[in-house]
Amino acid sequence: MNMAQINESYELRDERLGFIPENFSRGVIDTSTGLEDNITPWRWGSIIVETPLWRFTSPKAEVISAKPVLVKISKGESLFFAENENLGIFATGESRNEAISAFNEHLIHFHKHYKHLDWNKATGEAQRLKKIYEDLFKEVRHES
Amino acid sequence: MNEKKYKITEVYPNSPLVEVVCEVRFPGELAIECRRDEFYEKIRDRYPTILVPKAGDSLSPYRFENKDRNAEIMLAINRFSLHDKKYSGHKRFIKEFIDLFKTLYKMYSLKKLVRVGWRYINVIPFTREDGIVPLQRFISVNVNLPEGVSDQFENLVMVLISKVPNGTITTRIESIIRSDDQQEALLLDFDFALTEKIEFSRINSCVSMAHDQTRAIFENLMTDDYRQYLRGETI
Repeated sequence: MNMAQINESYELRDERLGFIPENFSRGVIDTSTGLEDNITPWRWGSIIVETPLWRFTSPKAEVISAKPVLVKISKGESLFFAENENLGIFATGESRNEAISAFNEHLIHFHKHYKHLDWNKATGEAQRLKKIYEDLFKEVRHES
Repeated sequence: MNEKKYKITEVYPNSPLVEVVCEVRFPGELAIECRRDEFYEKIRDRYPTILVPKAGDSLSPYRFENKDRNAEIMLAINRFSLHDKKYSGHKRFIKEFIDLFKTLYKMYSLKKLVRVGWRYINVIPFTREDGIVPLQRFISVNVNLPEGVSDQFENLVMVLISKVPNGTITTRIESIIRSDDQQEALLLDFDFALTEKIEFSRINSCVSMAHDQTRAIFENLMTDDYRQYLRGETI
């Protein structure tokens, strides 16, 4: 689903919500704690958004994690960034979705790499990452 | 069963809360309008900024904002509320609310309370999975949909206003999208209103009950996977 389709789904939803027969009203007023009109409009979010991911897919494979992976997503001047410092993954894309897709590809690639890496050949940072990928991630689909 | 999943005092490091509101309503009391300055004198150290309502009617509240602009009081002739955008737990918030309310109660000799409300507004950023809003990752809503209606939601908005003992719970679950960079999020808005058996002498327990009910909805909806994230147990 691309961004245009996502935006279209919001437009469709708002259009349906906007429709109501002329002689009806929604009839729900004055019911909320802190009336909507009186709540100071807040601006949610900062330049960096943190979102949890549990499932990582690419056309060739799918990996799931036992714990949520915290992905920091930010927007630069021309690119979006999706990163997780703990896993050492820094991905970019021209859109938010592209950056996430690139993040998924990297994670799947590193999972495969560290899974097959011999413990005897892994030292320092590689040992730490191999342990994370082996203990907390599992491949559930692979097309050879 | 869910009581074991969380402690009522637990404050999540990755909390999605963007605003907490506690409010009391009462029959209109004109003294509030006539002597608003007296109330302001009592709170001006903590809430110095005055925001005057644009609409000139008595039901529109005056707002008194703190220096950091993350908490404010709203006061109209028929209601009083405390709003916090940097919530650090219910104990401190309730204490502040009760202290303020007592000041109000003594100053204007309020006769009766008709409603005590507690509201949690949460915003949870998400990334779609196969184009679908991954609702089940975050919350468990067991709705039995008829055959032909899929639970693979591309978009959703749901508002439920439910009768519960001594009050009403309003639950709003909606997918939203930020206009500047198209980040999507789930808006979870829980609002418990106690409308029966409210007494001044029990205001503390009324507010605590409103809090506990609203927190319970949040906790009962959360999945264990998402609670892990809330607790900072992430990779």
